[in-house]
Amino acid sequence: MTNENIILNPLPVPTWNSLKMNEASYSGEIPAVSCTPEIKKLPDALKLVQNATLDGIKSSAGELCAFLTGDSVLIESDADASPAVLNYDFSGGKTARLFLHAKENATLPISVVMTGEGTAVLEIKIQADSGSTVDLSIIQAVGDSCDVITDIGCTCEKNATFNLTKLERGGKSEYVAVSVDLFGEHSTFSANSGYRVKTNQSLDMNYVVRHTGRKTESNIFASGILENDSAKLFRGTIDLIKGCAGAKGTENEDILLLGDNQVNQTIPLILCDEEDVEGNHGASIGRLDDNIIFYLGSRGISPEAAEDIIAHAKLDAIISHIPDEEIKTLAHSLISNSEADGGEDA
Amino acid sequence: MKEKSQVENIDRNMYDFRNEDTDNYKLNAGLTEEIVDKISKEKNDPAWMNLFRLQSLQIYNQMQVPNWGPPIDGLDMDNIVTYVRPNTKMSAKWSDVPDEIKDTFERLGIPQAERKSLAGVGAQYDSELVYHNVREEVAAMGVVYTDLESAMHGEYADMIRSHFMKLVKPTDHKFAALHGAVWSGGSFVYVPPHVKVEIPLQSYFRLNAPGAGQFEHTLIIVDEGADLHFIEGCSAPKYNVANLHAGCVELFVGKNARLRYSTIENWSKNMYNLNTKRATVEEGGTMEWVSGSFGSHVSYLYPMTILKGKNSRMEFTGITFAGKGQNLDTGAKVVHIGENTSSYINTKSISKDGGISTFRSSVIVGKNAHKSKAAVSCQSLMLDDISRSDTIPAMDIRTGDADVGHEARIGRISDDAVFYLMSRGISEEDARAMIVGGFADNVSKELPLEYAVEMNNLIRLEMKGAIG
Repeated sequence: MTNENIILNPLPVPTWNSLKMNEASYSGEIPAVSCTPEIKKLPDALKLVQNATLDGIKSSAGELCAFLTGDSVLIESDADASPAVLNYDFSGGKTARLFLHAKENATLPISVVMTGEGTAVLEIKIQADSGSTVDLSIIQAVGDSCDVITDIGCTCEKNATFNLTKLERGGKSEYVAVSVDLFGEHSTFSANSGYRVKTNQSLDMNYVVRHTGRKTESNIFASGILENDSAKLFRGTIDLIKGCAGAKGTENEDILLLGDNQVNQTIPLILCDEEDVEGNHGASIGRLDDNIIFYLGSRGISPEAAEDIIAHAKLDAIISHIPDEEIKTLAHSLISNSEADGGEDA
Repeated sequence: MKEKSQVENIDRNMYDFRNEDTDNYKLNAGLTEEIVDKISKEKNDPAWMNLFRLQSLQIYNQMQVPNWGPPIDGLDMDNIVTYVRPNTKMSAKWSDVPDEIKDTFERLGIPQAERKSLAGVGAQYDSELVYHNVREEVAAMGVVYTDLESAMHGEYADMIRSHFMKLVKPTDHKFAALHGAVWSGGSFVYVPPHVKVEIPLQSYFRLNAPGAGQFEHTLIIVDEGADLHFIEGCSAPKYNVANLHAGCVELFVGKNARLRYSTIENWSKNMYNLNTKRATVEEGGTMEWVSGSFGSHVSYLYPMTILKGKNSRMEFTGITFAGKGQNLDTGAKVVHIGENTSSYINTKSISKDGGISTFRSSVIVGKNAHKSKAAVSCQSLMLDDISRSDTIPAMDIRTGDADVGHEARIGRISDDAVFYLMSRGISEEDARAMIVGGFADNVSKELPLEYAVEMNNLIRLEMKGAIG
C-alpha cells in the first residue's frame, strides 16, 4: 500500500514546532503482504490461534493503525509457560500482526526475531490480566537498508507485569512505538531498549506510559550507540493520571556518540495531575571518556577497539534481560560489528 | 510608608490597588493599520520604524496562534487597547511625576529601592515611561540608561536601528510580530567596554488600564569586558477583563562581558503574559537569568540564549508558582553555536490550588559547538491533587563531543518533613510554607536581598490557606 506521508509517533503533548520533534513523517510503503511467523518454540502451556485479535489496546504509533490489516496470530497463556520463540522473515516487505494474552496469574515469555530484506512492519498488542507476567524480547535484525516500523501496545490489570527488552541492530529508517496502560493497582512496566544506529540510519522512538492504577510503576531505560552521520529521536512520556496515587515513573537514557555528525534528539515528558507520585527522568549523552580510552590504550587496545568494547558492553547489559538463552546468544552475535550476521540464519 | 522588606507588611493589596482609568489618552481597542499608524505618530517614529511596524502587522495577520501551549481563547485582540498614554511626560525628577502615579510606584517601593540599592530606575505606567533616572556616577562612566524612544532619535539612533528586533524577529512567532507592530516604552541600556556597574539598574512596569496591553521593548548592549545586573519587575491590578503583556527583551552580551537579568513577575491573574526574551553572547561572555514567575492568568515565557562565541556560557535559574486559575508555561531555551560553550538550566515549579505549571525547555547543540556542555535540572512540586505539573524538555545534539545531562523530578512535600517541623511546634501551614520556601531557595539566593525578601513574601502569600 503506497501512502502519502503518514504521521507516526506523535508526542502526546506537543512542543515548539520548529524543533521538528512533535511527530515523525513516513513516506514509504506500508506492505500489504502479511508475514506469517515461523514457530521456533511454543511450549504446551501456550495456545496459538490464527487470525484472532484483541481490542481496546492503545497505540502510540499515530496514523499507522489505519494501515494495519491482514493476517494475525494470537498467543494465549493461562499457566506458567516456558519461553516461546517466533521468527518473522520480512523479505520483500511484509506486515506482521501478533497478539498476546496472558490470563490471570499466567506467565507469557516470548522472543520475537525479525529478519529479512524488506520493509518490516510489526504490530504487537498485549493484554496482561490480573497477576500475569508478559516477558517480550524483540531482536530486530532486518537488513540495514530496510525500513522498520514496530508498534507495541499493552494493557496491564491489577498486579500484572510487562517486561519489554528490545534490541535494534539498525535499519535505514526505523520507528518504534510503545504504548502501555497501567490500569490495575500495582501493575508494572519495565523497558530495556538497546540500539546501535549506523551511518545514514535513523531511529525514531515513542514510548508512552499512562499510569492510571494506584501504586503502579514504570521504568524505561534506553541505551544506545550513534555512529557517524546517524540520527536518533527518543520520545518518552510518563503520564501520571489523577487517581494513580503512589505511582512511580522513571525514564533514563544513556547515549554513546561514536564519530561525528550525529543528530541526537531526546524529549522526555513527565505529565502529572496527581499529587502523591514520583516522576523522574535522567539523560546522559556524551563521548567515550578519555580516561577509559587512555586506560585501555595502556593495555594495548586501540581507540577504535576500545569504542567497540564499550559499545558492546552497553548492549550486553540490555541483552542480559532476555529470558531465553538461545536468543541471548543470537543477540550477542547480531551486535557484533563483524559481518557474521547471525540474524539472517536464525 | 510601608517597608517592602518586612514580611508582615506585605499583602495582596500592595499589587491590587488601582487608579481611576480616566485621566489618560487611549486608542480604540483592536488592531488595525490605522491604529498602528497612530501609535507610530504618537511615538514620532522615524520612517524606518513606521515601515517596520506596518510590516510586523502584516506578519501578525498571516501567522497562526501557537498550537502547542496553554489555551489563549480568552484573549481577543479586538478588545485589547494597544496604546494608553498617561497624562504626563517622562521625567528624571521624581517630584515632577503626577501624584497619582507617584503614589502607585511609592506603594510598590520603587523610589525607596532606588535610593537604597539601585544605580538607576525606569518606571513605565501603561504604555509610556513616566520616570527615568540614572545615578550621576554611573552616567559619568558612560553608561546610557534611557527610554528607547529618546535613544531612537539621539546619538544612539544607528545603534538602535542595527539592533532593534534583530535578535527577536517579527517572524519568530505571532506575538513577536504583534510586539513589532505596537511596541511602546521600554528601556535602552548601553554599558561601554570594561565598565562594571556595581549596583543594579531596574525597570518597573505597571499596567493600570483595564483591557489594555503593554508592549515595552528592552534593549541592552553590554560591551566588551563590561558587567551589568538589570532587574525587571512588573505588576498590575486585577480586572475581570483580559489584559495582555507582549513585551520583548533583546540582550547583547559582548566579548568577556557579563549580564545578569533578574525578573520578578507578578502580573495580576487576568493577564496574558506572552513575553519574548532573548540574549546573544560573544566569546567568553556570560549571561545569567534569574526569573520568578508568580502572576498572570496564562504565561508563555522562555528566555532564550544564543551562545555564539567560543567559551561563552549561560545560567538560568527560575521558579514558577502556579495557583488557582493560572496556567503558566515557562522554561528556557539555549542554542550552543560556539566551541566549548556551557549552559546550566535549573528550575523549580510549584502547582497549587488547581494551578497548572509546565516546564518547557530546549537545548540545541550545533555541529560546531565542540566540547560544549549543557545541563538541565527541573524539579516540580505538587501541593494538591487538583493541580497539574508537566515537564517537556527537548534536547537536540548535533556534535559527537558534547557533554549533555538532564534530570527532571516531580513529587510532593514529604509528610515526614511536615511532621518533623510540626513536632517542633510549627503549624502545618507554616511548615509547608517553610518547605516551599526552601524549595525556592535556588532563586531567592541569586537575588539582591530586597528582591529575595519580596519573592519569599510572594511565596508565603501564595501558601496562605494551602491547608485544608
